[in-house]
Amino acid sequence: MSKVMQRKDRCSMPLSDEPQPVNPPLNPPNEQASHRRLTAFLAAMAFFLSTVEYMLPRPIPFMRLGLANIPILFAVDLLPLPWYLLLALVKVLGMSVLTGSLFSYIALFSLAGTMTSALAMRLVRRVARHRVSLIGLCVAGAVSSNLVQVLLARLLVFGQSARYMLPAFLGLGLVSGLALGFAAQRFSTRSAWLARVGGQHGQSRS
Amino acid sequence: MIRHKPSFTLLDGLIILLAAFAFGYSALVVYGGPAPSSVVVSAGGKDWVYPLSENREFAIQGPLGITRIRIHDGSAYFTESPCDNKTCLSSAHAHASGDWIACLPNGVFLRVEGDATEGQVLDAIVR
Repeated sequence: MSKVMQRKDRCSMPLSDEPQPVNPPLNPPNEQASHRRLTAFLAAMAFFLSTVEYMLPRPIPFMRLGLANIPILFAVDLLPLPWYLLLALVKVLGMSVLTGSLFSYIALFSLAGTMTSALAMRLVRRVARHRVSLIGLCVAGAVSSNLVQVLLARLLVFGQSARYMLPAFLGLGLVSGLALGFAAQRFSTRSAWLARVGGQHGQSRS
Repeated sequence: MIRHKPSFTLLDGLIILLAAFAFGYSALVVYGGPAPSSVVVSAGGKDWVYPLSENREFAIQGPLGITRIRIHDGSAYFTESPCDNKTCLSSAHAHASGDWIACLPNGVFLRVEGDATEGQVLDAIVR
């Protein structure tokens, strides 16, 4: 019984659907360790979602839903900037290993897209604070990521022709951003786990 | 207690509107051109222009190897590529102005455009 209790204490996932009390903010000595654990957990979630996305059939080439960005979207309100950027970096590395593109320049597109998206979401949150929901954040992140990837394609590979990619990439960014944003927003209002983690980490962000 | 999260807000709407406007404007510029008449293939900083109306097959050299492209019955598509993911091979055929197919690993980009050479008989042009 005591072993079960200890395991429960260490577990970060919700154990029931019942709302749970928000924990008090972390004390400074525990803060770094807690941020490290949450970063590792969110990175693992990103790897898992990358794998799920890799298995999904793509109706058209370049169509990517961006499931692995959901943990980064939640991390906007949960992690301090250095840990947040580390999470984005680890997500890129993990995805590149999974898809086998780590040592190709395709990884550069992934890196530029993910870091731009992460910074754009963080910037929008900083400027607009809670006047914007996860839906707006996600659309801003997805569209800015796709824009930067088209820009890189123009500069590094295709030259002027890359402008033809803009409508498809902007449209896909908008659709995938909306889909993920609504899903994340719905999850965030119902998840007892996110409420608990937000109580520990989020208060130090605002 | 579950923390209050803002639901859909005015700023969300503004961000979505901006993204939709950028999409609409770029689509108008890219797809709003004249009727399709030629296939432009870009690789290694050069453009090759072929008439869309003539069936043919040709090879383009990229950093990984040779990409083969076929123009058939007013559509252009990749038939062979040295890349790993073969995304370019599964792309829809390009036949309308603004349609494109890209192979990022081999640096080959194909697009269909309507241009000033429409109506002229051309074999191929290198820009």
